Amino acid sequence: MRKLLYSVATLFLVACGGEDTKQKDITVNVDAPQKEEERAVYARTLKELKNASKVVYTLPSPVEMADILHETKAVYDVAILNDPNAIDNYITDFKRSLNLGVYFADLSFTSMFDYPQEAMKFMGAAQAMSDELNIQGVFTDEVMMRLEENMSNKDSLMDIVASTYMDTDLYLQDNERPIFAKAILAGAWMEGLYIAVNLKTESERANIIWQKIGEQKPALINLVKMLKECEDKQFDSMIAELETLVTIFDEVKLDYKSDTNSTDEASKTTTLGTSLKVDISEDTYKKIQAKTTEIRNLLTE
Amino acid sequence: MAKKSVKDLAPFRFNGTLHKVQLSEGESAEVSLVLRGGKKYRILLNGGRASGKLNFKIYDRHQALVFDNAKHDNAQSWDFEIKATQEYYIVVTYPSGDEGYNDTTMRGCVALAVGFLDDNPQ
Repeated sequence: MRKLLYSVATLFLVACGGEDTKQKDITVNVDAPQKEEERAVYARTLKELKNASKVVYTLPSPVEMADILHETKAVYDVAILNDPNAIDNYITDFKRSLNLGVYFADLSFTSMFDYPQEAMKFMGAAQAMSDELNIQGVFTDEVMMRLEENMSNKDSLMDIVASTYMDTDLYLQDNERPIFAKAILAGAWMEGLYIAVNLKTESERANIIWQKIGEQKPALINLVKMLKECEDKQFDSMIAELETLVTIFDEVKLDYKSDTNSTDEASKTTTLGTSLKVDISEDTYKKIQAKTTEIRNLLTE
Repeated sequence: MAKKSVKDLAPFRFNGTLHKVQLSEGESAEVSLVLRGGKKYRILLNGGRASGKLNFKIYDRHQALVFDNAKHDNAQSWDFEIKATQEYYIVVTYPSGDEGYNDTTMRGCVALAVGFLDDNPQ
């Protein structure tokens, strides 16, 4: 398949602060637009993307990661989560940020999988870590009280987790500490993937989990791009480890088949009809499991 | 703005990440987002005084345009049923000065919030 690689100069503002000029590489499939109409759309698309002066790479949040895995009906051992009493082990703000992300993920999973007592412990750990990072106005007494009152209500619990996760990110962005904001996102996603690769299920359903893990390939690539854009040495070793994980994920084949999209104006809903077949072998899954566990343990040690 | 965006997502569950960006008139930002198969999403924009005039387009992994709110009365919120997990690119464009504004140069914060429902199991 021929591919055209072009670069777009972009200003990257939101994710990492500062108005650094960046090069954005976009790989575009040039085999697809054979018809004139398609070529016109293609040309417009290129123009549009070139005009986008700011680029934001995103990852599934811990709330989404927990939801993804909850729907597989698998279970996990709470003992594999980070120790909620390990806060004093993390000395630098960078390490604290990574592990605040880890705690957010652990909090999301314990909330989603109905472990309310454990969820309270992780909320306490996140609150303490947030204090260490001098993040103000997020884990307030009011929030902690709402949490206690809603311990048995999973939906409310997840709303509180999503809200505190957002407030933490916004606080760090607004206070010009974007590196720590990115470290939290990275720690949370890694912990989610780590829990995913260590889920327990019946052997006949294992393939469902492997596919969910395989679907994380674009998110992993986004994470690497996001951390590289930060141009901060603190991320160097993590990026190196993640790039090794990317090479393993390259063995996962994502086979997309385009179908018709449709829109229902009355309900303001568009259906995007692509189908996807995830091809991931047990051997590849085991390699992903080993490397993910290794990276996650480096974060939490 | 953040709290209002999250509130307006209901009954969709907020995913926990609010994308915020400062834009000047005519300027665009691209958000790269992985949407999951089997889920219904709501994508919502809030641009303060530019609300109602923000344009957002969605491109698939082949950079093909799959949605443009200009074709839907500039709706600032739209729902999407996703059949298969893949990466999408949302390009948000701040309105230009010739789109009803004649005051000083427009510049403002735009928030993009995403929520999801479980009503479309894979």
